[in-house]
Amino acid sequence: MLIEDIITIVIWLILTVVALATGLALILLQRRVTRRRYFERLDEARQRVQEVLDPLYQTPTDPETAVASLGVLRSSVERRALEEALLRHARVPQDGALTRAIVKKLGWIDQWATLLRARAPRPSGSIATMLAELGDDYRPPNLLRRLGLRVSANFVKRCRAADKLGQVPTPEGMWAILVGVTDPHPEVQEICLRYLGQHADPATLPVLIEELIKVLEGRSSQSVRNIKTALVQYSLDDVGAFQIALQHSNRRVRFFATDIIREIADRRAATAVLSKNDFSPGIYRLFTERFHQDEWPDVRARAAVVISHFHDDASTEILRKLLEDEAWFVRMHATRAAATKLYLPLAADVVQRLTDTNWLVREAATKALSQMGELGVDFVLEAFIHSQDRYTNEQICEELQRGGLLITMLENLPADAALDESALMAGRTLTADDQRRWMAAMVVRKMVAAGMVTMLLMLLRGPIRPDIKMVLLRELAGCSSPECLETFQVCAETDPDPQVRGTALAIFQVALGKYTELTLASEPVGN
Amino acid sequence: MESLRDLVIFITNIFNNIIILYFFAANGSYTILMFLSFAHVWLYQMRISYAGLQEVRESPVTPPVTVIVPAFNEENSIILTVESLLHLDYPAKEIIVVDDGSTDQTLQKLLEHFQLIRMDLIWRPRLAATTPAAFYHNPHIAPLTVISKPNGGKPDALNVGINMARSPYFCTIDADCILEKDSLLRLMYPVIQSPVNTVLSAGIVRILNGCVVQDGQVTEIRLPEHPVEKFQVVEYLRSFLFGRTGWNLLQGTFIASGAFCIFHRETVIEAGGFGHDTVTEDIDVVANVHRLMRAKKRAYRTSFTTDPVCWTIAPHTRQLLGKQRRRWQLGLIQTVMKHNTMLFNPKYGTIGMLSLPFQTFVEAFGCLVEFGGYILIPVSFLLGLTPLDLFLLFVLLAFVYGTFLSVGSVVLEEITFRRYPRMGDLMRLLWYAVLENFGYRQMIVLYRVQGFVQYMRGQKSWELVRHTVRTGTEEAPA
Repeated sequence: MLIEDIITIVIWLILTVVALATGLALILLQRRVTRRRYFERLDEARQRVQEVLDPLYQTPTDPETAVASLGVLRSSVERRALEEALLRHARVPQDGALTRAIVKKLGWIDQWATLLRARAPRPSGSIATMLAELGDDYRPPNLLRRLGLRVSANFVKRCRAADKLGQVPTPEGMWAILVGVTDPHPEVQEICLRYLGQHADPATLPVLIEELIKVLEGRSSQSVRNIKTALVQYSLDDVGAFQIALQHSNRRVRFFATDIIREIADRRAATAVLSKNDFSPGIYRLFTERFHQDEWPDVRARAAVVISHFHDDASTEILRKLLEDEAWFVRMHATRAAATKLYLPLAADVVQRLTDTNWLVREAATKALSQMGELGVDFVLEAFIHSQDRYTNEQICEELQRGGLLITMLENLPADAALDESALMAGRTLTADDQRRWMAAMVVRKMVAAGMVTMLLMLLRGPIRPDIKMVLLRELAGCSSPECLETFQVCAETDPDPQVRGTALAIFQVALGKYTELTLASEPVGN
Repeated sequence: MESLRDLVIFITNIFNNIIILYFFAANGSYTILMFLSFAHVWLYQMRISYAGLQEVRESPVTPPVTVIVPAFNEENSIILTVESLLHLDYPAKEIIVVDDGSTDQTLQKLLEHFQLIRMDLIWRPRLAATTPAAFYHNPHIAPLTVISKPNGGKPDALNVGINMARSPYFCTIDADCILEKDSLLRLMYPVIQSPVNTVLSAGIVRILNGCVVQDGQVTEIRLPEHPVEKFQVVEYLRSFLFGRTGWNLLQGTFIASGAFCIFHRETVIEAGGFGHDTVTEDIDVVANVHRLMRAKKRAYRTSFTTDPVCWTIAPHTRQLLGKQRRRWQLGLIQTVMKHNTMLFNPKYGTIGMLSLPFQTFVEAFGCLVEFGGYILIPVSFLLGLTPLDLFLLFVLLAFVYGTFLSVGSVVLEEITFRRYPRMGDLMRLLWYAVLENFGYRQMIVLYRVQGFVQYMRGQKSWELVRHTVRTGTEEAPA
């Protein structure tokens, strides 16, 4: 009886599992087949759409004619293919106007706008004012359709509508996007805010600034990074609108507004040198008179970077002060802000920061000087040669290695890199080439003295000029560590240059003797 | 004699009821997680079509991320991994490879391939970690730094990486993993979107075995050859698509795979970094982070995203699989025991009230009940001590329902991501989802029980798993 039961159970188990698996397999199979067919049809539709659209974009076409010729595309698959193609064309600058006209004539803008506005509350406050100023003449659909939309227009549909309206910018779309900012769903709001930023229409900037304030005051569920990303896309000419945020009593609002202006200014400065004339007088005054002495260090820190774009005497003086600010964070930003050839007059002040108590400031100072051109690099090297501060030396040494300064310095040495020290002894004025040789020799000597020889040894083994190797060998001659010995030996045996081999061998022999002597001396007596 | 038989029946019934209750609870939890995941993944798929990834890619506001790769004897996979990291589509990234005292050619290969130069960089530790022996960098490959240190274990290597990292977020990657080009961007997306501090963002790990890899990128996705590997594909789908997605929806992420995970650096440093007291440092650090954030009453969230994909090499033999699973089980038990004060503690919210109890009673110790069930119920049924209906219920819960869950994970994969384009692969996946419950699952339970035994014995170290790169076009030992 028991065995029979077990057999029955096993059979039923197998049947159940097989049935379950077969059922699901069939569903998946059917789904795959349906999808494949759908995408085959879509591919064909894409082909047809391309055949219709290409001539329209190749020759100047009237939108009415274009829409009439698109009348042949009727099925839902063809409509999807057409939508994809038009959205793609909307991204091409020269196709933008025609695409907008076609999409509008097809009635899609109205459809998407209606969908997006389906759940948004009636515009009020600043958005209503703004819409009125922009000429919004939107007429909501009749009651029945409105009710239908309230049910069918879920947040995904509204998000997609906002996304499409954003991709095909039209005034009607922009009005809908503005209204979408007040949509009850945060994702719809997020997309609308994103596109407001992408289109960067100065008229819509106050909406984003208002949203930023709401976020920072905890009245909005949006991510502050999203708002910031949208805001930094506006032009430098529009930053006057930030006055309300810049003068806000909440220091976080002031900080973010300052930081956004910094980003905008930095982006513009990447293509052109800015001056105070690129900023409105109000903004200039705020930064030069108030922000560099704001109670909150974060504001001062970010303000330093904006001020550095003014490039006038007043801003230079403010930067000089900020370089000595009590907060290390401000000093670091001020130092970074001065990282340009235009602030060479501040180089001496930046050099002071090489001995800062905070390593991030020291690091910023080293990098800033390196970015001030050859003169700035000379400042770094001079500071390295003369500094007695261990931390400063370490920091500069790291930058020399990591930033590639050491390699550049050695590679740019004039032919016959070795310095004729007799010129120095004789007190003769050094030529420019000799000065570079002297600087290189001193830097290498300092690195050896500081025990930071790792990279020098690597260079000795590498394919660099023989005369540079001779400089390195001369400076490393006093080193008798096992690493040095090994490198000298490798050079003596394998270097392609006979002079280098000879010198390396001589140094190796001396260093080996020294090493043996030291080892013997350190061994306990009696061993 | 009769009373003895009654006693045996009574005891058997108690055990049987416990076992059945366990299967009810476990399967019930998995089913809830499955339905949550279905809804979440479906919605995510729709949302991603209008997500602003391009915006994030181009925004100067996007925070930099340091990718930390701890490597120990990974000479065959390390170059591929680092190449894939260098090709990541992310605006500001830094890559730190920490060679944890490899005894093979890992370091040498890195130095030669990327022409790295040894440098004297400054070591400023914020977390206790072994002092590095050497730093390597090539100014022409600015994002990459290689650190060589004496062997100190993976947590130590990770802590070294955190100490050298300069970004507000860091991403941990196993040295035998390959990341998809936009995976870091997708993993950071929820961090950027979040209105509160996202301290952890984890992604999905999929199995590389069988796939075709070219220039550090997976170019063709195929199922592996060996049954052990195929079973793991199904298992990973279930674990990542169901389990972790569901827990994420409940904000109860307790397990995040260290193979591919982003952390907020300052939070991890404050939480003490990666610890040495468990063999699964990735689970432990997540628990520490939860503990810290709850103790400090800070608003935070964790995230799990299903489409930033990390491809990893899975064990291809039963022996290797056993080693891996014993280690995972040992680590999980160590972690839940270490953090048992959070258990049913309302102070820790979902973590304390739901997630940790599930991990403890279902994932960590459930294997004992399950193992007992596989032996006790059939034996007692054969001896006539268990009634037929109870035995039937057991079979239904242990095998049929398990099949339903496994096949469900394949269905979820197919209706959302469809990563396996070949029809044959899909059918095979379904087949293995069915077969998984008849042998493989029981084998895994056995390994988990062995892990428990290791815990009872006080084992602290883990068994080394040496993977083999098995892709569609090449096969080389790693």
